[in-house]
Amino acid sequence: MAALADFFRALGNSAIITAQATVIAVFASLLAGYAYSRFRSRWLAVPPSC
Amino acid sequence: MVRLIPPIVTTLPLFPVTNALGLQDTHVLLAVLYATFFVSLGSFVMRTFIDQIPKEMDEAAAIDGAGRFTTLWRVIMPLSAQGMMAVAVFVAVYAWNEFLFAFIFTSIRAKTAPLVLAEVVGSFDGVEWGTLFAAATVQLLPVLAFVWITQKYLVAGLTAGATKG
Repeated sequence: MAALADFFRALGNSAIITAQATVIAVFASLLAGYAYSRFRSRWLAVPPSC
Repeated sequence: MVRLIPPIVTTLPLFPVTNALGLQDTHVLLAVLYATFFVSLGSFVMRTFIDQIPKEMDEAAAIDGAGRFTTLWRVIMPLSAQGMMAVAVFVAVYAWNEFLFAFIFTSIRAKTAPLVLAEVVGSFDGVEWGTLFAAATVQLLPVLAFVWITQKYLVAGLTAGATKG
């Protein structure tokens, strides 16, 4: 029973971490993607194949 | 470049840093690590989606008095929601199943489900296969449901920009 409680607590931890990581990554990707798309600079240059 | 580096290489320098910051065994540390490893790919996916939004939309918003952030919030974000969902699916699946960072940077408080499953396999009493497969199924269900609901965005994310030119 203790192992079961342990597993469900770990499952809850996974859910919390996944939610936090998703929010952070999506927001940061949105900002970076906007900068890459709209601003031209030597530092933002990416290969044409990307 | 970040995607080319094997994650195990980064753990050694990260360990003293996380200790110094007092972030060992916390949810925030793993969330930031997973997000960091995915922002590089996510940026390119988002860029492909945002490229498809005409720049005239930005200009129209600017004429209406919108600043850069307002344009991003009110114009770009709603129109690139599909791309955001695609990135969210990629990150969520990766974060849900990740083992290495969780194994190294957590011990008790922030232990994740894949670690507990691995402990079942490595227990001294022998492997309880029934328990293991039941737990694996329970662990699989939430992410399976999430991917099933959002799979159309995942396909859109994979094929975005495929016919550019």
